[in-house]
Amino acid sequence: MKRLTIALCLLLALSLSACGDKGKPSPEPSRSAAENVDLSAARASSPKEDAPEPAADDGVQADVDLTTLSSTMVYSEVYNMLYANPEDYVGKTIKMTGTLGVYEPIDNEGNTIPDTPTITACIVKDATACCATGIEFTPPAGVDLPKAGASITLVGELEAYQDRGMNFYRIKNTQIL
Amino acid sequence: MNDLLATLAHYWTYPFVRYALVVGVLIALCASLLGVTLVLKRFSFIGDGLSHVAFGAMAIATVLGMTDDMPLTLGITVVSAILLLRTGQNTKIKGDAAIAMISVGALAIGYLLMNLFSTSSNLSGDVCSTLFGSTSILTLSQTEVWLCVVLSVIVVVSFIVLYNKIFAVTFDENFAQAVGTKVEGYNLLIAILIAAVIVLAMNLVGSLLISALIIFPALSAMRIFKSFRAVTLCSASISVCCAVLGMLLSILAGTPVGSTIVAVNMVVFLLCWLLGTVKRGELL
Repeated sequence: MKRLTIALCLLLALSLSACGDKGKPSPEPSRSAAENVDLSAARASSPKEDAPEPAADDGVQADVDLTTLSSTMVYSEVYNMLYANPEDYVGKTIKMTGTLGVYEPIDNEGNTIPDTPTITACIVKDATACCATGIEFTPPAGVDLPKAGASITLVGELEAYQDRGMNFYRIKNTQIL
Repeated sequence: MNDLLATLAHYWTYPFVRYALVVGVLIALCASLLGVTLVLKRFSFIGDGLSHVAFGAMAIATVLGMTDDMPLTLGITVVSAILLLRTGQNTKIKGDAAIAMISVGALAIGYLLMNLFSTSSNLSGDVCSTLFGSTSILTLSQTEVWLCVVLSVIVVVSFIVLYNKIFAVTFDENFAQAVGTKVEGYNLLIAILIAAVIVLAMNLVGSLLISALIIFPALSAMRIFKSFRAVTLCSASISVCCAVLGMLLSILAGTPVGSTIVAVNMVVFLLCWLLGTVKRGELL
């Protein structure tokens, strides 16, 4: 009887225990050495508060629909698209939900570098929220984007391009849903 | 239920999911086989210690700018495993103190080096990912998968072929030595195998949670069975099932892979404990 009581108490304690700092912000990523890119969009906040809203069923079809995947799968698939097998995805239609990131290149004194484009990206985090990745996209002309850090769902075609001798990938012909 | 199966079938089409499941199963199998030996030799925490050493080695490789950190990480971890497991009983610093000393020292030096000589734009993210595994298991390349497969096959085959010797060295080193078994050699082999498994397992559950893969399946099996063979087989089965279930749950629910696997291991341990208690008639 005593052992049964101990076992039940242990199970009860485990079922009531909880841990974790849900409100603890993750550290802000450091700036690159070459350009002081404005990382305000990537400034950390609680992953629970800023989790992208699930996309509504808007009926838009895509070759690669990341909106139907769990957060763990989305991060892994984006990693796969950008680093592991990008050639398998170039030319395909991508649909994804994430956080809007806006990067304006600035110099060491905080001034915007002229004649350099602002980069917009859709950012996704992994399950532990300590790592983030994302895909750059070309914003549609004449469309006002939401504020940096807002949840965004977009669809477009993945293309490859070169910049300063390096390969990059971005979504073109973007539609904001 | 149909939706769940359809989702799993859809996820199965992704190659990185298949790679993760294959590697996860192999790592869990290897860790559980060696875990029985370690738990019986009272070296349960060596997984934690060696994983911290591996973290420190990875930091050194990163600072040195090495593109592939596996050779250096494996080398330093193997040396540390040998130092910890071959020291025997007549040492000035006993097993648990030696593990603690090397473990915290390597962790601190590793993080210090990465802070001082960091080339990453998100140091904390890299460290967090290494410590907790995050989605490392889901971002493996084909080369990494094959490397894991080869190392795992070596570990499993070595364990099966040398089962009787490992059994003897685990339970009574002095007797094994007295009957002519090369105890030092087998301890060295066990140390090398453990180091290899630790380095592989960092991809699955991260540095901080590796001990769970080693300890929980063995302890769960010991709640139910008493013979070495039965415990080993049960431990392997439990470990593989927990790894697969943990990975599938984390993929479906969007939870961290390493933590989910450990949580499943904990639940299974509780169930085995209850089952063992009922089996021995101690509960009622």
